[in-house]
Amino acid sequence: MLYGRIAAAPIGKVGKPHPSLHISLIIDDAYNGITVIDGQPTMAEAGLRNVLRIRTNMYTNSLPPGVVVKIPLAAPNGMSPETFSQELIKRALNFSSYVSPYSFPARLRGDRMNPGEYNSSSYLAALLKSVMGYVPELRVAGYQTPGWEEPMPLHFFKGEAIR
Amino acid sequence: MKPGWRLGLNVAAWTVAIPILGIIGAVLGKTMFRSGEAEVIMAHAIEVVLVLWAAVIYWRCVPSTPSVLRRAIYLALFAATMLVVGYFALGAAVMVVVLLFGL
Repeated sequence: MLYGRIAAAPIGKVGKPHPSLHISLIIDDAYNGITVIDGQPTMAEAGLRNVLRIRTNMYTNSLPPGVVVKIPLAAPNGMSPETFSQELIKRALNFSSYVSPYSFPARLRGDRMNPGEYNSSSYLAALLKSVMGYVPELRVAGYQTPGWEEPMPLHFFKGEAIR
Repeated sequence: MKPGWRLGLNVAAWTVAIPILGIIGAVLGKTMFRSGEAEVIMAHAIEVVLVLWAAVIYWRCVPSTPSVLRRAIYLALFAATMLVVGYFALGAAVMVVVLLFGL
């Protein structure tokens, strides 16, 4: 499942016709419970030179708060749900966190990213693409998802040191 | 205090309050009101506070004049200024909230 909540709520919703969504991937597995994966901008937890970069955020057995939309996500043809879940978790763990800069959308609060710039939606779109081979369609009436149209390059998910 | 200074200081306080309200809202959203509905209500409450505050600034700080035309020009200039300032302050508020609390 994909869960969407308003990015930077509640101020992210003020004065806008279409608030931006932050999307999280929810994997509900009978053996391992609930796993939540999303991309997050880094703060100063890894030093000042690593501020505002994209990292994998993964936690278990709790759900993100303030969810406003839930979107079903099916495994691609020829892949079992178990394999799909395992591959998503493996790719997320392989992601080279603290490398790619985190960017805000065009005009700071626009509905698209500037070319070559990435945010948390770019991260999740690329994670799904790395396993599914394509980025699933994501349209939510009344909301915008900047970054979904601009997935990160897939080499970030290969588990290689690239910095 | 000169009317121009008073107006400028009030607009500046209104601008600075936007990121502060964003931080307060984010803290409340992560501690007391952890639902999407509560966040929407908080967003509307912030909007109402900002609009009412701007109206008070206009009422108390924009000079009055007997000319209706001049009064209309003052109102248009005030509204345009507040919209531009508010747009950038909201952008800054989103940035600050993301930096402090993540997405």
